[in-house]
Amino acid sequence: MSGGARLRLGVLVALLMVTGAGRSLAQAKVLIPMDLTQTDHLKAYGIAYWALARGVEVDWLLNYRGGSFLMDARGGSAAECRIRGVSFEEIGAGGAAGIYSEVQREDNNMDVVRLDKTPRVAVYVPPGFQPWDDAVTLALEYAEIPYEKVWDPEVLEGALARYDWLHLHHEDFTGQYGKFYASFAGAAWYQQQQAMLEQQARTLGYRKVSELKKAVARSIKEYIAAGGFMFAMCSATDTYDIALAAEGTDICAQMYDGDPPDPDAQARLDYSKALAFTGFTLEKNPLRYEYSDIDQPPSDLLALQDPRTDYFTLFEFSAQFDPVPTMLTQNHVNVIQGFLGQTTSFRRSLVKNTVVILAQRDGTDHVRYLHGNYGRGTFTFYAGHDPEDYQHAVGDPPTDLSLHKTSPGYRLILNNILFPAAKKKQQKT
Amino acid sequence: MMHRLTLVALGALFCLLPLSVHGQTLGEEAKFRHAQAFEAAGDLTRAAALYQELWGGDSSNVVYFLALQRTLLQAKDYDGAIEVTERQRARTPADLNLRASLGGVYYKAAREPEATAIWDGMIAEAPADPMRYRIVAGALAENRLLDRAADIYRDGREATGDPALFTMELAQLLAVTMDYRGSAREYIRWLTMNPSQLAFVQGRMSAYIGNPDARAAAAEILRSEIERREGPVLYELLGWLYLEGKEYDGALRVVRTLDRMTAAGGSALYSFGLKAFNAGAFSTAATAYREAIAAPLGPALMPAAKYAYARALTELSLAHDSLAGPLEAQIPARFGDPSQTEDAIRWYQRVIADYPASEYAVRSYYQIGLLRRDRFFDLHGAENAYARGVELSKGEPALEIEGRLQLGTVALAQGDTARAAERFRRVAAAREAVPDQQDEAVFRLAEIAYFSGDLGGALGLLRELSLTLTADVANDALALSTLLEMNLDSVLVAEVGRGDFLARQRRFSEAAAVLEQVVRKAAGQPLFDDALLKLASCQEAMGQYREALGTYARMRDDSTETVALADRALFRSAEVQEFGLEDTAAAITAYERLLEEYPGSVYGSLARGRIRRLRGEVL
Repeated sequence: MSGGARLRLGVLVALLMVTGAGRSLAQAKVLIPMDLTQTDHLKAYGIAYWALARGVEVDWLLNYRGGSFLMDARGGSAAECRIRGVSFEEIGAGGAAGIYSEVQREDNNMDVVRLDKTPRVAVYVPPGFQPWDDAVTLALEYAEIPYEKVWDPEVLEGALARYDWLHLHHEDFTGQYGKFYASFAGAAWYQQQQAMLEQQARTLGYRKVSELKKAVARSIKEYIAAGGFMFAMCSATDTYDIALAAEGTDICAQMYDGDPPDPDAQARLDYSKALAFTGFTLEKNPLRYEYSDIDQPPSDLLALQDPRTDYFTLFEFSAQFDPVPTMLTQNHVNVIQGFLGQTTSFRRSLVKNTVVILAQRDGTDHVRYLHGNYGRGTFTFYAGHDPEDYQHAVGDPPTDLSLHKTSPGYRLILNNILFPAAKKKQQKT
Repeated sequence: MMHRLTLVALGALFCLLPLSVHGQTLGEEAKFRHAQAFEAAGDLTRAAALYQELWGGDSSNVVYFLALQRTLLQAKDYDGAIEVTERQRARTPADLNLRASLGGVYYKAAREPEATAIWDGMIAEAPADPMRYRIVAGALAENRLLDRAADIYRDGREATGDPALFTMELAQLLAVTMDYRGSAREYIRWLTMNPSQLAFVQGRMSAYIGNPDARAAAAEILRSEIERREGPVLYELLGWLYLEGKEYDGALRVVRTLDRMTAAGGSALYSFGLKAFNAGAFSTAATAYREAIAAPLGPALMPAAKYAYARALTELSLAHDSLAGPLEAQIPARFGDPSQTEDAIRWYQRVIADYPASEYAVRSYYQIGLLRRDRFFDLHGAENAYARGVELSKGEPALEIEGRLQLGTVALAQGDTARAAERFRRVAAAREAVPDQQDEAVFRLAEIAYFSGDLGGALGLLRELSLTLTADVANDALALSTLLEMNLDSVLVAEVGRGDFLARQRRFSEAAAVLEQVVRKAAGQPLFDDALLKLASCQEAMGQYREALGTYARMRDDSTETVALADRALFRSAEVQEFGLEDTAAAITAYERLLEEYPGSVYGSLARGRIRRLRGEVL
């Protein structure tokens, strides 16, 4: 180490010693690396949450060894890591100081984000929901991060204000029951789901399920505007925006809401109400397993996809100037295996230019992961159904995450869960 | 000439006839096709205009009317759809389907009071006409007013005084609206009227009884219905519901009644007992068998039932939750009540007495041998039982060989290696022996060689076995062969073999003494850890848990040459704490220590699971 660097390190240590951080620096630290040496990336997020829940401050070291976590060793963090099978390193004050110094160097695209609270997580799911139906709840369950369930009545009553983070299950906000009609109209589960939703709509004072879902979508939008974080996957992404844009029209065919759609529905879409997409064209065929041209490739051409060549690339951001996208893209790899879903990827030309694209399939206009702001809150859309099940069909067995402990695709989900725990910091000018 | 002209005129008329039969001219047909093309292309305005023209030209044509109505509805021109439908209704006032569909059009136009007035009016005109209720309910269901449709069906039933009316319609409709009680009630009504349709009803109910709440609701209704009127078919349905929900005790109560009602003489109970046994519900199975025997069952099934009952008692007496018990530490298993084992033995003896020349008698002897050997370590009793079984099984090679194999294990446990070896050699050489039996016999012969100090001979037998990795004994063969190969030059291996042999005979204190000697002499050798492990096993078997913990500590502290078994020692220490001393805190500490000191240990994930379980965390 050069003399200048040694001096800077010494000054940093001295400064930290006289500040609050110095108290914690003086203690031994636990570093949870998130690079390829980590044995269980997904449970590592759970350890960070666990530590936060016990009042232990956790530092998220952006771009340092895959987005590692550094926390005090007090409170049994090390033992808990062992119990959960998360690899870690115990380092002393000097080692920690060295890490901070490296991370905060101007010429390194790294930064420290202090996590100081446990986000209150809500998942929007229908009654009768099983956690293994949904990748986000699978991740939450595996990482042992607690969450609560909310549904239409709670959303319309304003219960979302109690939560920091909301995940939308693979819900169809357009009121077309997932457009499963063509394949499953005769299935008992489909009929019961439709009857249950119709009953729910009537109970809540709506004539149609589509009207109810539009109201729910608006409530969620208000929640975001007030500072909430919303994360959606698969069909909850485009259907959410379609529902917002279709506020003043009826896009549902007779088998979905009892009456035909508005013939001028396409012309009556108001894209200004959508969050992420614009200029999209609705899929008018009620028997086609597709909502619009946002999704690509079309769902009825998924058989042509080859998992051997389906990958997407995470974009790199400045940790110091763009901490949020940086947090959301923390990973131990930057090229990730693709996976299909009812909404597999977003057509780039239909993404609003106010939205940040976080990942895309190289050489194509297939956006996989995006993030945007609305009001005081943010939203993130992640296309595809299950990062470790290339083509998940109705009735398929659940993914066992203990077999995918280092899943980079699932890490992106968990980045979103921890991100609301970050202490807001002054942007550098 | 006139005749020819007449023929030509007739011919022309004949050619033109098909067009007039269809009521269309060529021009109309083309216009209709145009309209259909516009409609398919989504140009509803032009399609409607063409249909309107066609219908205007021929208002009796129902095809034109339906196409026009459909197109106006598609275009959400509800006022237009109402107008044309009203006009058509005025032409055909008796058409009930048309009136009902008019109500549907009003409903789609959000003019619900008019819709309701039409539907209610249809009913009010002829309240005793079932057809009207069916049509109106159909229109309501089409417009997703499912609850109202169900109400109409019920009203129709009441108005017509026919309690059987609309049963299947209601059953299906209520299932869709998740009114499972209502749906079950209707299916029961149907079944009562059509008792031979049990399979049909089960098939329909299968759509929702996978849902526990739905199943419970259906069972509740069925039970209350049974209280009002008994009937075998209702009991069969209830029994099926219980079985679907794996509620075996409930199912047994039902089967008991069914057996009595149908005068099955216990056969229904026996069949149910088989299902319960296969599902692991041994207590329920035992009860079912016992009652079947007491019924009494017919002679064809009685031997099987008695044997099955004895098997159920055996399972109950031997049952302990292996998943929650120790995996490595030799802590004696916690068996069930010993009197249950005695009961089982008594029942096997009854089977033998009642059916002395049967296969059930042979198997009963073998079961007695197993219980005497494993439960009571009564080797003499076990030997007698197996020997009688073998005697009785002559002429049944597969059964005989099984008995001889077990006689060999008994002889080994008695310490009689010569007799054991002779028995195992016969099994190994028997042409009728299956591969697993031959493999086990060879392994036992290898063990005998090892116990006797013939290490080369043991290794020779083990090498062949180790090649067959799918064999049941492959793991044990590999473990023994590793022990021998790693210590081939050590004179102490034979001593270890002697210790193992004593332990096999459950002479644990003598075995421990031998192994202690080996430990004292084997410091620094690979054999040291193995000897300590075996010593600890003896101590665990004798209930000397603290001594066992001390032995494991010696493995960790004194072993300088190898720590190959150190994590295993730590894991077993933790098991002794957990299952022997039942000290949860100490067990957790030991498991945590394993994770800390041996992060790559194969016992790591087991230790993690044990810690979570001991902490009461449900994952």
